[in-house]
Formats: sequence, C-alpha cells, structure tokens
Amino acid sequence: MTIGIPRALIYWKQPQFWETFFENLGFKVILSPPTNKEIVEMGVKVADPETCFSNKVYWGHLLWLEGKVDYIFVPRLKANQEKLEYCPKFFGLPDLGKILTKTPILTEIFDERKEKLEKTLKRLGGKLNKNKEEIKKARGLAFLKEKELKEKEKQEVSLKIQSKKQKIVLISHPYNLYDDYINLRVKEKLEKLGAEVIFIEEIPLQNQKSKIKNQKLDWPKFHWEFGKEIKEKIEQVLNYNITGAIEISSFQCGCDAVLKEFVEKAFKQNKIPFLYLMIDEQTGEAGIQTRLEAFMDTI
Amino acid sequence: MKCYLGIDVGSISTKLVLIDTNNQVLFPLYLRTAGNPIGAIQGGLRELNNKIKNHNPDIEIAGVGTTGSARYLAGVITGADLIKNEITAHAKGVCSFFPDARTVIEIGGQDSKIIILENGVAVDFGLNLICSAGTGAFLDAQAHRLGIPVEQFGEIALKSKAPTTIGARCTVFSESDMIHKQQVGHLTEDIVAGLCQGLARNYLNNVAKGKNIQPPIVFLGGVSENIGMRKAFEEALGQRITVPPYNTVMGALGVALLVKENPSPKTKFLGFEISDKDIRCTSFQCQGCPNRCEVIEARIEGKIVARWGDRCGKWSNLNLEKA
Repeated sequence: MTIGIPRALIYWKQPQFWETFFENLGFKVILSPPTNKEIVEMGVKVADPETCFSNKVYWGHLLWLEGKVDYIFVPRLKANQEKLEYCPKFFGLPDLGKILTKTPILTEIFDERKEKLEKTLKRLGGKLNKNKEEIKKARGLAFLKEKELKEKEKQEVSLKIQSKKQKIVLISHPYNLYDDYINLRVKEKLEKLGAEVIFIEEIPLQNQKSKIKNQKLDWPKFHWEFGKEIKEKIEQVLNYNITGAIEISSFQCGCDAVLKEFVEKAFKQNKIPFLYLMIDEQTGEAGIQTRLEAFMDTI
Repeated sequence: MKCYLGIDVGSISTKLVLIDTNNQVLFPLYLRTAGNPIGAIQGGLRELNNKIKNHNPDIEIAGVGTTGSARYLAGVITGADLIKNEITAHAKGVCSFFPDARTVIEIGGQDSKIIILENGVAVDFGLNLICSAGTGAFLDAQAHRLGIPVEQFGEIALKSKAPTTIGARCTVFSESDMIHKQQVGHLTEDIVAGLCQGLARNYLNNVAKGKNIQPPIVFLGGVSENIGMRKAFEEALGQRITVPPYNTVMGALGVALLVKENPSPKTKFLGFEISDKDIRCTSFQCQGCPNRCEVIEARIEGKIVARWGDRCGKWSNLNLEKA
C-alpha cells in the first residue's frame, strides 16, 4: 500500500517525520515533487480565491498525488505541544481534501490540548491495522529522524552566525521559506548579492540555562503557535548582529496581517533594516529582484 | 570630453541622461516607451547622437549605466557597464543634487516608491506591493476617460473649489466611483481634484505606510509634473513638497552618476550604431521540466547576445559563442 504526502504547507512543519513514520510501518511513501508551475496552476484552479497562496499551493500538491497512491495523508492539525492553535485554515484541510480528490484521505485529529501526540499516532497506526509495538517503533524512528535534522540544522546555523558576510534573517512560515519555487528563490538571490541567509525557522530556541539574556519583546500572547515561536526566535536572533531582516508573507494570509506589525516593530526598534515581501501566484521575479537589490544597497 | 550615460527604461517612459565629469547634465531625454523598450532605447540613442553631433561633437562615452524595470534588457543591448535597481539610482540622483533631502516620493508609470534618506544614504524604502493602483498609468487612463490631456490634469485640478471624494484604493473601483460622480453631476475639475487627493491618500496609506516621512520632501517621476498631485500631497502631509529639476529623469541621472563613480577602464558600450541595428527579442517555452519557463533570447543582427527568464539557468548560462 502506498501513502502520498503533499510536499507543501503542513509538511514543512515536520519535514521527514511523516515519511519516516509511515515507511517504518511498512508502507511505501510517495511525496509530491518540489513545487513547480504545473502544481501551482492546478492548485490555483481549484482553490477558493479568498484563500491564501500557501493553501492554493497545497491543493496543487494534493492533486498531483491523485490516482498515484492508495491514500493521501492530510492530518488535521489543531493544537501543538504547547497547546497553541495552528492556523484555522489547517483545520479544514482534510474536509476540503475529500471534496477535491477521489483518492481516499487518511487523516487524524492532532490536538495536543486533548491528547498526547503518541496517543494520536497510535490511533492513526490502528487505522492502518498496525499493532502497538509496530507503531511505537515507527514513532521512535520518526522522532529520531526529526532530532537528527534539527541537530544538523543547529550546526549549520552556528556557522552562519559566525559568518563575516552581511547576515540577513528571513522571517516566514516554513512552507514559504523552504519552498524556493513559491518564494522565487529569495535565498539564492540574496546569496548572489553577497548575503549570508538565515531562516528564522533554523534558529534554535535558547535553552533555559543560557547566560545570554535575550531582549524580551513586548508582544501580546498570540493565539497561534507560530506567533509564539517567531517571537522567541526573533528575541534570539537580535543577539546575532544581523544586518537586515526580510519578512515574506503569502498573499491573503490573515494571521500574517497581525503578526507583521509586531515583527516590523521589533526590528525597527533595534535599528535593523526591514523589508516586507508579499508573494502570490502572480508575483514576478523582476519585482522581487529590484526590492532585494535595493535592500542590500541600503544596508 | 568624457561623458557618462544613464538610461532608465520604465513601463511607460524611457529616460536618457548624459553627464560630464563635473556632474553637469548635458542632455536629458524623456521618451515614451510605448510598449517597445528596444525601440525606445534605440530612438533615444539616435536622438542623443544627433544632439551630440550638433552641439558637442567631441563627446566620448566613457561609461553606460542602466536602471528601471527593463534594466537588464537595456543593459544587454547597449553594453552597459553597470546595471542598477531604480531605488538606488533615484537615491543617488537626489543625494547628489539635494543632499539635504530626507524623503523621496517617486510615482512612475506602473510603480510608486518612497525612499527615506539619512545623511545622503537610503536607509529605508517602500514600493507598491501587489497592486499598482495609484500610479501614473492610472492617471493616464482617467485623463483619457475624461477627455483631458494628462498634461493639463494638474491645472484643471487646481481650479476645483470643492473636490469630491473618490476612493482610489483600486483602479477599477475608483473608475466606477468616478463615473458615478459624473452621473450625479459633479464638475470635472472637482472630480479631477478628487482623483489627485485619492491617489495621494492611497500612496500614503500603502506605499508610504509606516515610513518616517520627514522634510525636505522631493517629488519625482512622471506624476510629479502634475501640479494637482503636488498640491494633494502638500495638503495631505502638511509639508512643502519640492519638485526639483530633472524630476522626471532622476533615475537615469542617478545611474549615470553611479557609473561615473565606478568607471570601468574601458566601457562596454556598443556605440550609437546600435540604434540602427536589428535588435530583436524572441521567447520560447522551455520543455525541460513542468515549470515551462519562458526564455527570452536577445539577438543583435541575428546573433544571440543574451538569454534570460529561466529559473534553473540552463539557458542563461549557455555558452553563447556556440549558439
């Protein structure tokens, strides 16, 4: 049996976790390919025009998998370990997915306010007729893989922090940062302009014992998980002597409309040049290039 | 005499400025791009060459810089020594001529920008995001609708005693708003003045949002020729707005200054002859992957001089000698 995973949106919250989990349960996993024009077009065609660009891209990936797999895995992410909610658009993904594709959707509700992740995974594995032991083993390997990835990222980022180049931190959701088709290869473009690019996602959260006192940002308690995460990571990043910050937002992202105001204020108060970029299916490379070039010239 | 040429190719207009080693502007040229950037560049060069022949035949072009949204194309076909984005170019032009300026409002054909300067250096900027409502192209279209030459738009706006409110948030809706105002009987001058105010408001609420606008403020770009717009900005900001000389060619001037400051030992300029050469761009869709990139090929006299538009670089990096 094969399980398809759309390589978009929520996938980037835990890259490699899900394929490791399912593979170790004995399934074949097919990931949709990196985003390309065809996928974006498919997604834009079926998506509600009021939804954000990142969601539209997700539907393109889902449709790419249609007919190629036995199940498409679309979890319903509701709340994380810290009991903070995910974007409300994530809640409805499995329901909309069922309308959009004939391939059955494999789903489970992930709400850590109500149930521990381990227990939800057990139920998910149970749906696939796997026993307790098998699920436990697969789960362990998936967590291990995730940990390895984080560890590798941590080492890479510590090198970047020491770089002598102009350090630019990119702030966005992982699905915008890691998908270089939809962000129009912003990292590559900045590197060509001589920058060292650090993704906010890569920044390890400070451990409690650290002696460096982070500047505390005066932000309200955000309802959404990424609000807290981005806040803590920005507090950390302010120690790194960065030369500029760029926030990327997908067009019509409601949560970003709120968050952006705080992110911009945080950097401007610290006299760090800030650039805001918005992306959607119509964004041209030329516009982004002009802004990045001008931004690198101002710092 | 050594001179430096700056070329700014925008969506609506193409600007050429020639400066000497003392930063004196010898010839500023402003032409309509008219949907044909290559033709506009060639036409501009031809006109410039004629002026040089008639006035200063001893001029030698020591460097060429290009800017504007068609800067790469312009750079390829003229053999530019420097290709620079329009924000940096405008900031450079303003800082050289008005070192005290703190804020630059620039409204061009299809984009509008704000540049914040501190001690002669650009420290912050903003460009219109996804929508291009509130740019020169919008005024052009509305002037046409009202049957007024866009050049007279400003003067007509100044006649208004009671400007009517027109929402300029979106070009399309703003047009319906305007039609409605005409239908209920508002005077043309009140509508025109209302449009200027709406545009200024839209600019300040979007492009300039959150920017630290400090005087002295300079106003550039084609739209700065419109005295109604200048008045609308002055009213909205409660500040005097300066429209400096070379207001419509500041980007070209800036890039000429930049190339003068960073000269190449030998310019790559292909010469004024290019205005009579057969320069063509063609495009094709690459079938290499699902991205189906539209690759542009520029040819001078049939010979490919550059390719661009591909995401992966397999065409733009191709050895052109072999092609």
